[in-house]
Amino acid sequence: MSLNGWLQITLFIALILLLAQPIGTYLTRVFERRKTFLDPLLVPCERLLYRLTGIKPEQEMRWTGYVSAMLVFSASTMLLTYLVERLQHWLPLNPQHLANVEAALALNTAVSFTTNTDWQSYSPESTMSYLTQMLGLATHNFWSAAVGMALAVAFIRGIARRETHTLGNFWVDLTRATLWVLVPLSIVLSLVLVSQGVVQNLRPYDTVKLMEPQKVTTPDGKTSTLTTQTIAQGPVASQEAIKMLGTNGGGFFNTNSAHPFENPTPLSNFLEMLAIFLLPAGLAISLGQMVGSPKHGWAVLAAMTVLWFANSALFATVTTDASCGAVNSMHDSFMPLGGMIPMANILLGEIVFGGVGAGLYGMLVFVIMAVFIAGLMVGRTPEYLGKKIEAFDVQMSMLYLLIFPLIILGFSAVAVLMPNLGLSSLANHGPHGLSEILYAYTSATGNNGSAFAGLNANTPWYNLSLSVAMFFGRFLMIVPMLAIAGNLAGKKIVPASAGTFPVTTPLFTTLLVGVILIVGALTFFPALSLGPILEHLLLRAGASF
Amino acid sequence: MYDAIAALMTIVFFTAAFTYLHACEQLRTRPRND
Repeated sequence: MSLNGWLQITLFIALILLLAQPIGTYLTRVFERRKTFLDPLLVPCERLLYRLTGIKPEQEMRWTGYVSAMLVFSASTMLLTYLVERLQHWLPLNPQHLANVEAALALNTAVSFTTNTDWQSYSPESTMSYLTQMLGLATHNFWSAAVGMALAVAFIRGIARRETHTLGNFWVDLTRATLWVLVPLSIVLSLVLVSQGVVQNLRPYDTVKLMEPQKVTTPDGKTSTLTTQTIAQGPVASQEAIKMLGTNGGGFFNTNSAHPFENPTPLSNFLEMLAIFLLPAGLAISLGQMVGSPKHGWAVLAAMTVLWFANSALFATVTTDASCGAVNSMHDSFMPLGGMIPMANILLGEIVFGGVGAGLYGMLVFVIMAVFIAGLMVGRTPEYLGKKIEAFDVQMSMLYLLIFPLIILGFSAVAVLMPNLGLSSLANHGPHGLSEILYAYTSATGNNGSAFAGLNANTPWYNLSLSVAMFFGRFLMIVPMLAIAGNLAGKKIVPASAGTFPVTTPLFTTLLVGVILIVGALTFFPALSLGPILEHLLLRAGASF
Repeated sequence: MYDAIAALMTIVFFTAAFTYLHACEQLRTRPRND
């Protein structure tokens, strides 16, 4: 990779590490309900919201109540999105008169945006009205990110509190994450993006005359001459900002951030990348501050950074080998091992910074496993920040870690074995085809949402099965995660002794990275060896797919 | 027809999640010998 590339990576990670501390401190103040500079403006809004909805902010919830409130909220907002999609033709703000979204696709999209996945089996500019984009999808960009942050904070409280059974109030955490964090940051970033040329309007699409008419041949052999081009418009900037800040990823246009109206300049590209990592990095610092061990927050952030940097270096090597340095491109077009890297990033459990909140609580489950393994090595009951890690905590951690591969590998196997369902819409066969299928279920279950391309997922089978993968990949992992938090909150604090494994040292960071890599490698290596690795070996022998 | 499937799947999703939540809490609060 070029010097410029390395400089950009270094500047990027330096800025993230620089911003992590102030953002983390701000997040801590917000979730501990301490004073912030936005209070004069937002406290009256918060009080009004609680009064209108009948929420009692001082009422604490047990872990079961916290998860139940989150599930009820997710179900309600999912239904809202589904209805808006199904009725969009008769609703306002549809200047292109787009038809109602087909039911299987509407379900897939509703689940996708509710779970912070933002998998898109459709081309947004030709499928979704402006109202659907704003009321059905952009709202979820805020809500799903706020839910992730609330869950991460609840987990942190479980670690920090002692001999209690409550983890906070879900509605308060959701409200404060939205009002104090996501809305202000989105307003600022939207305005900056508009200054760079990202569009923000509600007018019908433009039709422009081509300077040079283009001859095209359709698949059935007919030739025609195109003299005009339709240029899609819309309220893009307001959606683009939260798409990045909330680690959502659902593009306003089909080509996502490769579209010049979403990401027009090198500066907008850099700021959008920065926005993706900003809150996950800040939350790691909040972890340290809220549990009373700032060094632990930095140790967790260091593990995320090490994994990210290692992947960047590997990615650079592979793309250099492949003469492919583009980043806003289709993973399908990468060389086999180049395509494997983004897939491996998700397969590790989406904890290399990961989603807002989701990345941190995923990482904390790995922390519990690392501490447990360290305890086994020295023959002591493992402790984590003074809490004894016992059978139930390890059972729930294993449940969290096993559900993930079960969904990915199970659905991929079913899709591969069913020619009429899983293989019929596949563009490539052989190991490359397996990579496309494996990536789709990995992306859905990991709530990532990016696509490998080459697979037409807008079929009833993929829309429905990916819906199941996205839903279970989010909620069935949240349940055991918060069960651990609920259990930890009730425990006493054991004073540290000579046998306590410190969780603030480089040794801890190394062990954590090792556990993540070993769990990821052992679980998914067989599947990867049949997909991208086999394709790489066959490519060297002269076969391509 | 797919509207009915979507409704059914949503009900199954959330029922599964609540059942799972209940099962985890049962496991957490069961009496232990250890």
